[in-house]
Amino acid sequence: MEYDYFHKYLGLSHEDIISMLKFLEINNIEELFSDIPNILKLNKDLDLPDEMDEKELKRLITSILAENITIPPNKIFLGGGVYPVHVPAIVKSILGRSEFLTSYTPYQPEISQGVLQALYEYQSLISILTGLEVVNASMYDWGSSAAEALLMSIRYTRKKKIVILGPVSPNRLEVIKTYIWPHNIRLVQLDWDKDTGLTPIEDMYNQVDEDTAAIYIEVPSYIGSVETNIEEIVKIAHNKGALVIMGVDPLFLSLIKPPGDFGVDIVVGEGQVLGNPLNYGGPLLGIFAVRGDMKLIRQMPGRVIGMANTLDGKRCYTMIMQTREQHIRRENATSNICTNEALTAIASAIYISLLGADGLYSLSKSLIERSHILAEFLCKRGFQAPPYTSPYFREFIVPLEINPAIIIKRGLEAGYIVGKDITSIVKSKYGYSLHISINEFHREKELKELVELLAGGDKY
Amino acid sequence: MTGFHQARWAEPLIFDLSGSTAPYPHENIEELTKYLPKDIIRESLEIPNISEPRVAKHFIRLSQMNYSVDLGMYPLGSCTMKYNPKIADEIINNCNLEYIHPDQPIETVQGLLKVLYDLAKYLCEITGMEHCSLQPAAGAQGELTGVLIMKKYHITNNMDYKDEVIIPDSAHGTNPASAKMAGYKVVEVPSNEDGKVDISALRDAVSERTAGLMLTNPNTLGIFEDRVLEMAEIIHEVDGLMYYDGANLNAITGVARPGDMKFDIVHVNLHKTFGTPHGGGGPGAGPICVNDKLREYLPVPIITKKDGKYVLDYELKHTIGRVHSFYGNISVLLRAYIYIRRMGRKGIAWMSKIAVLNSNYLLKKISRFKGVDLPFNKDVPRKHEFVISLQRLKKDTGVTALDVAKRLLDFGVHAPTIYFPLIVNEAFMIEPTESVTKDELDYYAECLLNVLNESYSTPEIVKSAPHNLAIKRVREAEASRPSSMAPSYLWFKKRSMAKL
Repeated sequence: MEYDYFHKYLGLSHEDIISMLKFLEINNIEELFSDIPNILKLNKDLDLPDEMDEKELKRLITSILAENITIPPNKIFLGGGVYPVHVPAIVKSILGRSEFLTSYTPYQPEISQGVLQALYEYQSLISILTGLEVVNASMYDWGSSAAEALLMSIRYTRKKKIVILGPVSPNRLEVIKTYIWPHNIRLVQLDWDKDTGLTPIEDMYNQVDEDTAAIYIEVPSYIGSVETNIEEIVKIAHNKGALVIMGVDPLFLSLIKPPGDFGVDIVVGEGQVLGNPLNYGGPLLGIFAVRGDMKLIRQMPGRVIGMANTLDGKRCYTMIMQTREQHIRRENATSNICTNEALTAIASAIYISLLGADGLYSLSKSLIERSHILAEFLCKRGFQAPPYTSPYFREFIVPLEINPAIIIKRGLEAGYIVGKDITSIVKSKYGYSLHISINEFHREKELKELVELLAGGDKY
Repeated sequence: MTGFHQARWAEPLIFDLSGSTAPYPHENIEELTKYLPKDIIRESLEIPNISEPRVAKHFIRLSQMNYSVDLGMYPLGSCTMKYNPKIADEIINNCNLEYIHPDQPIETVQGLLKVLYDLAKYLCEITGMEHCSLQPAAGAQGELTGVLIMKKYHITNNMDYKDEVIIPDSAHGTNPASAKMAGYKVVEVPSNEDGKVDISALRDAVSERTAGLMLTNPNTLGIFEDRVLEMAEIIHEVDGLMYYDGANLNAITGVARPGDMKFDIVHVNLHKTFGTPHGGGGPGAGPICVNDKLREYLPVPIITKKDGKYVLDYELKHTIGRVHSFYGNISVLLRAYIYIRRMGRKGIAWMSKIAVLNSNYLLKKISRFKGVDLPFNKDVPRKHEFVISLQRLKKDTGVTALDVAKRLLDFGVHAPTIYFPLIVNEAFMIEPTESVTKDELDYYAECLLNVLNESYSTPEIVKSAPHNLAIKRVREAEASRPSSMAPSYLWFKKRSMAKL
């Protein structure tokens, strides 16, 4: 029988197919493909494996992934924007609701209030953290958020120069370069001072001029240093008609004043840390927040959810300002983004709602405390941790006398990932260097073990 | 018809829930001055502290006011809202991905890299291409990656005068937007009376300046562009590249391949064709596949195999660079791998056959209804989706495609994509997918017939729809007006205070 094939994911039975073919007055399904020229038809089977049932599939994936070496989060000292996070059970449980998981972009608001209100809450919570009034419903990641923010500043100011302050994550910088490459933009990356870990203010005075569209600064920076003089940077930029774009770790915002209060125009950042698993680096959550100025908002990329009213006067939520977007404005859209990271944004809304102000504060405080305890341990053993004077939050770099690759290997043998070798980025200033990040799983025990691994004591 | 009603909770915003809104952290500032200068320490954070049970109720209530694939038919055209296998949820939640950091040494992630490597191989086989990058996080990012590859290829080969990309008028909005982001000028070519690219108009549009053609096949009308080889010849003659938008790949898997149609660059939407959930708008994944001459232009790193070990290869001579901070949306990629293995060789081919059968079955039922027209060639079968026009209905009754869409929601089904593609008036773009049953298709047709009849007999019911959902119709225009909009709670509060 030709139609006796059946797969559980297909909706039609053999009898359905026969009766539908009859209704269509055709003899077989192939007739529906008769308009495809024969020369274009595959006319053979794809070279793919056979179908598997659930049991076989689970066995297969389990056996393949068994080739991974699983390292628990308390023994991982990697960060740089994404971190091991305890995802509360409630976040997982709610994200498993198929009403959220298996719905589409809320193009019909009346039947999609759940996703719309949850995304509106995400936007509103980020808006409070950043102090900026308008937040979009997410970008892909910090890298694409930063890149799109720079492109936005070019459109807004009609100028073509971008000044980047201090050390920026090399991956993000690469994404930025990929995005701006076609647009003849001049990218000036200012060096930072070895001792402070920050770009000297006078260098900004020299480099930020009338041609500058924006300054981009990450707080904390990629090496962990924290710029505390945001107010002056904003003044320098605004005096020349340039925008200030700040990349942030959103958790750090629970400890410091909101960037909006300093006059920062656009805040971007990585929302993974707000309740999303690492998953080897994706999906992530690009935060994108903008000052509440209509001229600026009109240049924003991405979807924005707004409060609305129904015909009978009840409060509800819907996508707003869609005339900026590709499905309406086509080549004149502010960005090509369509599918974003909505579900990770919803996860972050649940996460922040669960922690509340108190939970966010105590988590961030414990991170800053522990990173300082670790630095103290390291200093006692003769390390310069960190080698700069600026404040730091949850990560910093440690100069080493030997190649970090040796220590990383030593750590791995002991079941630790001790950090990331960032010598190539900081060599001229600090020589061999390791980038170390604290996460919420670290206890004093692991901090001490890490110090031993770095110091290469008797045990190692 | 059924008495469908959506849940209707008067659930306030999280900010308006009663909780202890602690005046945090005034009293705590001192303890932070050890680490941070006092003048940058935050003085208040206006986020409520709410109990876990109340947070749970809040979001579960919201979820009940949201339609989804698991509830019923969701036939959004060009969105491929098919079943999202539960086995993928289970595996993802239990495979220890949670704490794998992207900077981990590659010897700790060999299993994961094997899955990704094999997925790339499968996608190449399905599309008929040779190399694949899994990095783009969504279809539109895949498109951007593709047109950047196009640009880099021409610049590298001393053809930097190529500054135009040709796009049919029926294309998705992301195509022209992506081309623009890569710095191209967009040249639109019209469709002919058959709903296909007008070949002579294409010839007229092509010049030395043409960098490439972006094409969806079948196109957004659900019609297969049978002269695609001719188009490829025209484009390749001027050294242009052929770009395949994979949004409609679900129509032809196992039947025909973009590579055999002479496309050079293909993006695939895993959240469409390969059954990964849309999550209310994302995350998706938009891998990009290319032929051999474009391998060196792919984003870095790509996953390769060296001495039996999987490695991340950064050494591509002409790479356009990174498009993602790391390697892409890994858990989405893993889900697509699971989907392909579960479906298998035969299932992947059958899903397109059934999707196309469902689409044509529903089309034949619907196109007989009063008020409905099928634009363009009526004799050529549509593929996985089709577009009808409700122009006649509007003329007869004043009821618009928007009204009909809103009224359909009242019966527990989702509306199709409306007012797209732009070349059809009062467009209704329907893609049932292979996941639905015949009963569901019949029910959908019945619902539509009912709404069309209402439009003729009692149009006010349709024009004031929906009636059975969590809320009544939204006043959309007002929500985007600067004087009345409220894009966040902070904005809303500031405006309310200014009014006082």
